[in-house]
Amino acid sequence: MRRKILSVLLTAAVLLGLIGCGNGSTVDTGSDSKAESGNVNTEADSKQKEYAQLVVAFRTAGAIPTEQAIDTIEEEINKITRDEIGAEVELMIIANGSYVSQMNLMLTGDEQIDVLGASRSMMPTIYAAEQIRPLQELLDEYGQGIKEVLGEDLLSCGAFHNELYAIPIKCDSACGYGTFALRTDLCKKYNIDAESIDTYEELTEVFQTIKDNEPEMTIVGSGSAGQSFLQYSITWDNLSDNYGVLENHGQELTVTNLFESDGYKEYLRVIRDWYVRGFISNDITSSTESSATIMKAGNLFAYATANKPGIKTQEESNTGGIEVEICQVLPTFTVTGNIWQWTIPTSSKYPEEAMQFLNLMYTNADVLNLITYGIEGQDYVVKEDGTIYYPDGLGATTVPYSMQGMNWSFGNEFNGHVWYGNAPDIWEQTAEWNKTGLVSEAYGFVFDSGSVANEKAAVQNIYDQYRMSLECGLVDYEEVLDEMNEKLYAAGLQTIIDEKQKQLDEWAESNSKN
Amino acid sequence: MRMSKTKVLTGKKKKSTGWKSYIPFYLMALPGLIYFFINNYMPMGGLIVAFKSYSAKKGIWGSDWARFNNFRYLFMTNEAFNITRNTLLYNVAFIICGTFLAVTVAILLNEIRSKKASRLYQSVYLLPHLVSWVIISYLAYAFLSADTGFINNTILKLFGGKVINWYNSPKYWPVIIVIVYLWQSVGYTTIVYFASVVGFDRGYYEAAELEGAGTWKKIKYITLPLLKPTIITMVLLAVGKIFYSDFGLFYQVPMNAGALYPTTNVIDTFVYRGLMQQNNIGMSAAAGLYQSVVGFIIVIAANLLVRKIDKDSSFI
Repeated sequence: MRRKILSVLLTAAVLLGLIGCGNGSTVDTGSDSKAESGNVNTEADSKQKEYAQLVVAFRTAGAIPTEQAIDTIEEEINKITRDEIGAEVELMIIANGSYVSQMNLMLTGDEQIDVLGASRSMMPTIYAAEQIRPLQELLDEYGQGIKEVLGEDLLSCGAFHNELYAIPIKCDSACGYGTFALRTDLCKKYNIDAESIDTYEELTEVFQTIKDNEPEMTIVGSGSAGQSFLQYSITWDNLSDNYGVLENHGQELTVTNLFESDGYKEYLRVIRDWYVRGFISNDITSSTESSATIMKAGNLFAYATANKPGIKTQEESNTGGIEVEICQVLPTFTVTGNIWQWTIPTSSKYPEEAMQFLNLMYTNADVLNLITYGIEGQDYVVKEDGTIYYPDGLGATTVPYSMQGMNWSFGNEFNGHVWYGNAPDIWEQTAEWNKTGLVSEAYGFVFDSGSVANEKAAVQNIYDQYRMSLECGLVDYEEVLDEMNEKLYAAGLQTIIDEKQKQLDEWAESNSKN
Repeated sequence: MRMSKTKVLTGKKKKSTGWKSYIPFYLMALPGLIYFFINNYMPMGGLIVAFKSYSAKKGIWGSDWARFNNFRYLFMTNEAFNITRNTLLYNVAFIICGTFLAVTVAILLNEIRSKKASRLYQSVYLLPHLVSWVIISYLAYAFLSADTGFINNTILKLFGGKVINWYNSPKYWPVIIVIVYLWQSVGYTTIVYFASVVGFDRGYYEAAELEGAGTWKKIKYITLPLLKPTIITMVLLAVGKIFYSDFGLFYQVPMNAGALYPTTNVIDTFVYRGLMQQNNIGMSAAAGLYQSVVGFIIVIAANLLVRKIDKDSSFI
């Protein structure tokens, strides 16, 4: 009898084990996000029915606020939106690192998202998969405010094939390339005047001085983990993906291969020189930490970034208070940036209210400030000069709600508060800054890579194999560049370039350039 | 006529009782069958996406047909060849090295007299199997990091070697991957072999000792022949999975470094990167289908081979 019971138990255990295994192997992030958004929906449903429930998705680089903190903000925003547009919002805030993959999965799963913040890398694919709606009609009807804020030129950056699919953000559109943040204490120690550095040669000399005197130190980092210096060093219009570019700051509308251009070779020459001189860490290709974090840890002198008004404040908040000087060695340049855009997905239940909400976000300072900085007195306080800062005793990680690091991403930062440490007139400065520098002739053109998706995937695969080691100087470009180009062409680079040229010509014609 | 009818009837009766007596077993298998149906058969319908140019608006069925367009990028470069080769060769290396090492360790463990020591070694060998790949990848990083890693900083320095940029040199990675894999997995397979070795009749060994056989002879003429069926079963199980790769091993341990793709990209990581970077589910499904088809062919071929060698051990 005992043996029988034992065998029954054993069988049960084995079966349970099997089922357990089954569950284990079927869990994936897809079902996770499904479950989450399911909750979001039911929560939304249980609220009052008469208002449209808008799901607004965006990302944050900082800490994700607690459910409770988000609810409070939503309630404050709803007080405005209920009257203005007859809708309530549900904020879906997702960490930077997982945003793209999570949104891709949600969109593929047809989850309800009404307002979606989309990064540059997401746009071509969600457009090609028809996961976002065309916006022109909605904009004409509900988006007068947006039209006034952005103007025709900027608005056209959200168009594919002359059809509007995304609302660009108004921010610092001009970008100061070749910009580096240098540690102030070391600059002072070795009498370096950062502002007087204008060329790569002068910068190299400065780096050499530091290297000679502080041999243990890593001299320069690339900014963000997994990226080379290239993203901050362009002298060409990269036409969204670097496969086919307009050389010489996009002053002519002829698409060429970046990897054979003089500008690219010049970049590689400088970086290779730096690597050979020992300025760049060998671990740069596998590092998972941003340069600012490494500087915070104390063993880095400088890193690459993009210049704009208020950059010093921004970088010093990234380095955790280590003071930095800013120098810029390449021209300021404006391309179709589209680093961030607002879209209305196909899965939206309330596209009209969604556009109305966007309009409100771009025009109503209260909505913008609530979504960016939270509630006055609780999440921030206003200082004497009109700038704002965390309340006493609270900081970036302890404040209930703050999207301070993402303040540029909510449409119209010019409408919002100014963060403490910046000049109170930073927005006037930024408006001026946007008028400086060179502007690409193709400004406003967005490439639709849908028809060359195969080539792009193949080319991307080849490029990824070389990108980091080549563009961080770890390998001699004279040895590998030809080989890479050969492989890129074999993978279909010319097809992409031709397609880009074709779309660019069409765009130029309808925008009566040339 | 009559006779044949009764024959049929009795035949039927026999059959039905036979079937009925198996009901408990079928019931036992039922959860597994349901699981297999839901997890392994239902998603097969999704393979259709590989032949569609997928649009969220039109849905899976409504999307336009793309014929073999989604497959093109696999064969435009030598990518398909590359990932297939990597997947296959790594698995072959894992099977050969893994079996050899696991059998060796199992036999050695058996030679240890002290029970306590033997248990301790077992646990120590098994421990890496319980460690997540993310942690293993950082352990490997501690060894391989170019500036601060143990190998460059201590071992190579000691012998005056030049600093090697491990995460930038694809040629070393076939060895690194195999070593990391063995370190992680060998404890687990060792236990299986060790369990059989422990179960062998001590009488054989005592008889051999009386005949004057040494340790080596005992291993060669008793342990190994007795282990043969276990080894064949284990190898066959591994061959069945020869076209699958441990995602964590190939994605986490090389730190997703682009320069290492030529020797570390396997089908699973390729599909993952495809879906995450390009968000093109048609193309990802195409790569997945390719994996299944080639995997199917290889498993069938391996099985045919096994049937020739040892008929009892083959699956079909």
